[in-house]
Amino acid sequence: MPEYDQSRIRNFSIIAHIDHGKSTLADRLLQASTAVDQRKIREQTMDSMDLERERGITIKAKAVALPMVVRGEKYLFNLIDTPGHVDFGYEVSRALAACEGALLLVDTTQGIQAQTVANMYLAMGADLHVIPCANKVDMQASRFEETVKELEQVFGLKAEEVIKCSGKTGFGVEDIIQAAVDRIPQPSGNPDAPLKALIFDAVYDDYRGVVMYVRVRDGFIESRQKIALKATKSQFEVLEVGVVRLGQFIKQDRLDTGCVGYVMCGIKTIQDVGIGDTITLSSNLEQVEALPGYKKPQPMVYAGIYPVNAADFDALRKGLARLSLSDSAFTYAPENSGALGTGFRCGYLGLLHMDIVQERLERESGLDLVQTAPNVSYEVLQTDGSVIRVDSAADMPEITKIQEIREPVARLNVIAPTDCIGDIMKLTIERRGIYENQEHLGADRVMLTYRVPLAEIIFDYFDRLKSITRGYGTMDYEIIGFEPGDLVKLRILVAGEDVDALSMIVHRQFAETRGRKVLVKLREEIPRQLFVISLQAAIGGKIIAGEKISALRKDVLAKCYGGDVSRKRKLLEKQKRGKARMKMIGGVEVPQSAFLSILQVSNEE
Amino acid sequence: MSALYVHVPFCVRKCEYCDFYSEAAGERDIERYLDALEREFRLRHESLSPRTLFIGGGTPTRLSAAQLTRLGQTLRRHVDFARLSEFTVEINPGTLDERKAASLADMGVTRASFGVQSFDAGFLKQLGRVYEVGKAESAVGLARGAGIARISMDLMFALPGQTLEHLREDLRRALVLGSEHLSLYALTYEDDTPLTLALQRGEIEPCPEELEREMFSLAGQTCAASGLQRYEVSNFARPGAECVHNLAYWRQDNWRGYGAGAHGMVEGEISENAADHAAYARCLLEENRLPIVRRERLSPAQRAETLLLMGLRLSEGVELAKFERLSGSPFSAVCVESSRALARRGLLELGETHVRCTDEGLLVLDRVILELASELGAGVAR
Repeated sequence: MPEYDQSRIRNFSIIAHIDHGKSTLADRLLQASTAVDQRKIREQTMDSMDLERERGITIKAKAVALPMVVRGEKYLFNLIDTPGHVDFGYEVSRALAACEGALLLVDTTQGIQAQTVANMYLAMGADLHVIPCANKVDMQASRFEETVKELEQVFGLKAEEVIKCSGKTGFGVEDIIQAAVDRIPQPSGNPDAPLKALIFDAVYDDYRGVVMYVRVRDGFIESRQKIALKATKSQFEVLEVGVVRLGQFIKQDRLDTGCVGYVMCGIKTIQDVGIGDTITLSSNLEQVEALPGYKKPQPMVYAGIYPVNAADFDALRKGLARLSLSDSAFTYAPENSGALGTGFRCGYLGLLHMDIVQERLERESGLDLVQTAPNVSYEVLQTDGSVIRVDSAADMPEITKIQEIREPVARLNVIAPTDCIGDIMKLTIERRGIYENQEHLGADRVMLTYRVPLAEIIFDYFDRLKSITRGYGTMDYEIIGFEPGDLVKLRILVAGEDVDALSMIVHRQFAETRGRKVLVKLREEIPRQLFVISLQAAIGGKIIAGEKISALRKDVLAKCYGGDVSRKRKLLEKQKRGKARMKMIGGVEVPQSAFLSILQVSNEE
Repeated sequence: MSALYVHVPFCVRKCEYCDFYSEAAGERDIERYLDALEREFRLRHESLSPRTLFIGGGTPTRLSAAQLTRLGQTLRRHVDFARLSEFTVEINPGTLDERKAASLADMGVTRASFGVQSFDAGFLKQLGRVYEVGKAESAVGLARGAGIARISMDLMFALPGQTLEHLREDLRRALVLGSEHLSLYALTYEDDTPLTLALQRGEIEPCPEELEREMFSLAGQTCAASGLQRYEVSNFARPGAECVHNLAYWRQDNWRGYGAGAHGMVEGEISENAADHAAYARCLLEENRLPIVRRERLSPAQRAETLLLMGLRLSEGVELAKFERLSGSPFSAVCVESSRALARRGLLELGETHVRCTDEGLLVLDRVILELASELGAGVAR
């Protein structure tokens, strides 16, 4: 007999814009749970990595089981956490696919934001029952009525469905718990059918190997079962199943239909487990149909990582291998750069994913690294009719072999105050955005929808948006496909030498502006040296812009006597360390920062 | 032992550009400091028979004539003057009078180094110097009158708003006074000094780099026309009138230092005294122990590097034999790539006995040293 009947299980997520109070509400639900030892609440966390906590972002979705007593009856809530950023849109969609319902949490001091919209669309796409929760109603700045109007207008929700709450004071939490029982459907599924389970997340653990988080759709899963994964066709034996409570794995005999929990099979690499894949019994792998929606993660943003000291190459490879154990969306492959030597081309889901991986890598490996400016992934139709994926400007075929270059295009949603429409339009059109839609949210806010090449939004679009909307603007995007563009490879030359790590694919219309700006930036970043340094930008063999860094003309300490020796030596040590961190290109010392500085270069005049 | 330095850490006030340790203090602090100095000589109990003696500051002439005489007596008690050929005292022109000049001469001072900095009232004010224009000339007169024959002057250039004309006038007035030695320092913006803060606030404009280079050249030409040769980045002398004491630092010969904040270096071992004069005096007078805050023994590689960073300041450059003796390897073997590249750019000259910077090299000496030291360090690491 299962501990909880299917009718007593509620599987749901909390979807919210960042800082709208998701963690606080999750903590409240935790406190309400009958299984909670109050002293342990502080230790409980749904985020396992420091970095995620520091950034206030959840990267990896996980699930916690919360036993509840509602109106005297025992229920099991499975709260499934979702990442809160566009880079992880696919992971969010898989986590939502494990749920029947979602709490749509909106901060009433801020109203609906772009991520709210994106996540809500995902929830509606997954056919979830949504319970709108208007949070922070205890605050002075709360605009409850307006928020309810926005929910009605944008999502067609009914005002009477909205639950007033405050995660901070606990107000309304009891209403939310009751609504979860009353409004979220019990999990469907046939307990007598053969096993079918959705893998909605997977993490790597040094001791346990890969831990898969699953939602059992049909049948049940238990230890010693022989299981198979639909997409990879790989087969495993189940070692342990269970649920996570208070941050600990609680072993169970089996996970029944409708249940959410973990499965361990001693799998050594996370790449063997596809998020969104379907688990079946080995014996009927072919007969059982896969659950819909599975995709292989496809990196959309690429950047090079190089060790400053060539001798650290092996250490870097080990660090990347370690990282990829716990991050299936991250890819890496060796790459040679004339300027930077041997390193790796790394693929990320997006810019935030890149930041997180790079920070972890530096922290965990302790290596001095050079990171090149990121670019998106391109599709190139060659003159011989073949189509190749190009992840690096350096790998772009010769101009004569290219028939067409295609780039990823995203649908971008921006929510901002109405008086910023003009500036947002200007910014987005400069980024080659094509207007699609405009919807007013109440009197003073608007949602704008554009199609924009991904390359144009991944760099500093968000920063610019924040600045022109005085911090009020929010954005979200989803990639909708590849489209041809008039794109060229912009080469950068330092002291006459091609710096492949600085070359980039740009729209022809922006090539000259971009080239000039890159050179200006490099002129700021590269310190003056004992000789004149020429900087050039080129398309093919044609130089389109040039700059010079004048020679250092005066650098000598005026006074240096007996008592100054120690100070001067200390300074020299510091200078030597700085010099050792530079990359030599054409006899020129180039600081690491130069490779990233071109990130800050935009198309605007 | 070739050189002996004694520090007097007191000033009437701190200058706008200065980050050297010196401070305004009362008479009792000074008396106590002189007691402490006496105690340091006694506790260290070294056999001192220097060729050169240098009293620097701070402002040594902040002391009264009687205090100077007391300082002289301490020196006479502990130092053998038999081999002494040069005895310099730094003098702030605003603090010298006839009695002090006489005291200095009685002490045996042979060389007076005047911190003139500028002959222009506006720039003196900008620098926070305390004396009136014209004081410099009269102070030199006082020293000469007392029998101190050798005169050196410090001037500063690359001051905010200074022109080549201003510098030319300063040089003229210094040379007219018959100085056999000039120290011409480009203004350095040291951290947290009032002048640097003013620069950061945008209240003053730094001297443009090209103008500074022209001033550097002008100084060389003007001095040469009067028979003074550049023998170090910032120092000019009539042949034979170089400051022998300072040469010990640049050639990395041994020197000892007494007083608050004083450094010494003997056979590659550096020692440093507490910089704060009160801490220095407390340590000696109340705890009866030496106020040494740091001792460091330089490795052969560090000694070789230090020789380069000090020695390349000199026009004569670094003696190759000495470099090899300290580092254990010939210069041409450990700085092979960097010295070749620097020579190719016309910044460094490798001779039979010495390696030296060209004038162009002296202007970018800190980079030259960085290039050489980086290769030297990498070589030693291998």
